[in-house]
Amino acid sequence: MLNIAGREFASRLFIGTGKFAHPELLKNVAQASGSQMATMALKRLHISTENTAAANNDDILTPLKQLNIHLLPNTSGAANAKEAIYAAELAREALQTNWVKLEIHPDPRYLMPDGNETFIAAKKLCELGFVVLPYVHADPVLCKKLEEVGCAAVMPLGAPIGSNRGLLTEDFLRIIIEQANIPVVVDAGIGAPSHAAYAMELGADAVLVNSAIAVSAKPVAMAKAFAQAVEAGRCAYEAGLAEVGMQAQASSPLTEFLQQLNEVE
Amino acid sequence: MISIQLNGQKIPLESSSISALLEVLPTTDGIVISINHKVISRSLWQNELLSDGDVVDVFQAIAGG
Repeated sequence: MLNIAGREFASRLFIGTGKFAHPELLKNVAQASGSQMATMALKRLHISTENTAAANNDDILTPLKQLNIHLLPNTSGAANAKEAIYAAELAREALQTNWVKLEIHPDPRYLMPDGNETFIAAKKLCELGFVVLPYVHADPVLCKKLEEVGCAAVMPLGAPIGSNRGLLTEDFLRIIIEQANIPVVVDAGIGAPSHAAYAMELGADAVLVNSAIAVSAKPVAMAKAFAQAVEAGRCAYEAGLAEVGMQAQASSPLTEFLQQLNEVE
Repeated sequence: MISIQLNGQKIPLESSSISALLEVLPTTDGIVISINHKVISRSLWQNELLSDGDVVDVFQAIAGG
């Protein structure tokens, strides 16, 4: 079973909670996915000077907690290490968890993670006792360094966030997976269940999916499809994939009796 | 009566207690308060006092990837 920082996860599919049309849909998706970890974000509370009594946010925490899903707050919006550490401290208090998905992307166009700032923040947050899961480029050197400073897992990207382009970083993911002594969670870019299955076949420990489910025409059905793909991919990895070759290898015996037909004539 | 900078807006508060702050918020569920960029743990809310001119930020957990 997948174990991150002493916590066991029966499902290797993690979900992001963004972009869902309404909380009820998210709840149904969470249930269909079988996921046991979901990411959350933080925002400044909107203060109305008229002070309307209604909360300005639909409650998504309660249904997720009812499903016993571990909440993983992110530091999205942080552009440097200092902001990310502050965001992690806020999230720890808001969600009563010391787990954090560390993401620092100063560039809003491609949302590329800043490796340098991420490393600085990860080191500090680990020292402060956080369970840190950094979202990073598929950079094997950086992933190794993050492991060395105490990160609980690494979350390298397959392709830009929300691009649904699959595992464009495959070769580097392979190296990261080979070298890692901590779980590798492929995050970002996974747009189809086949991408998720492939990541699992490569030996990823888990995948995180948000947009591909949330933006689907039928998110609940898609969540189920991802759950099955992740399970199939993991199962295949554990079974051991057959070797890839260029030449044909017969899987049926090459029987000679048919050739006898030619000899008779 | 004091005045604080709440999420970028200048607002008056009846008193310097956190409970006076909570009264002007639309919700208190799953929120976190920071005063001058220092996170105030929920368990310390009743002891904490605000000062005139404090920069107060209130955040809430929301959906996100």
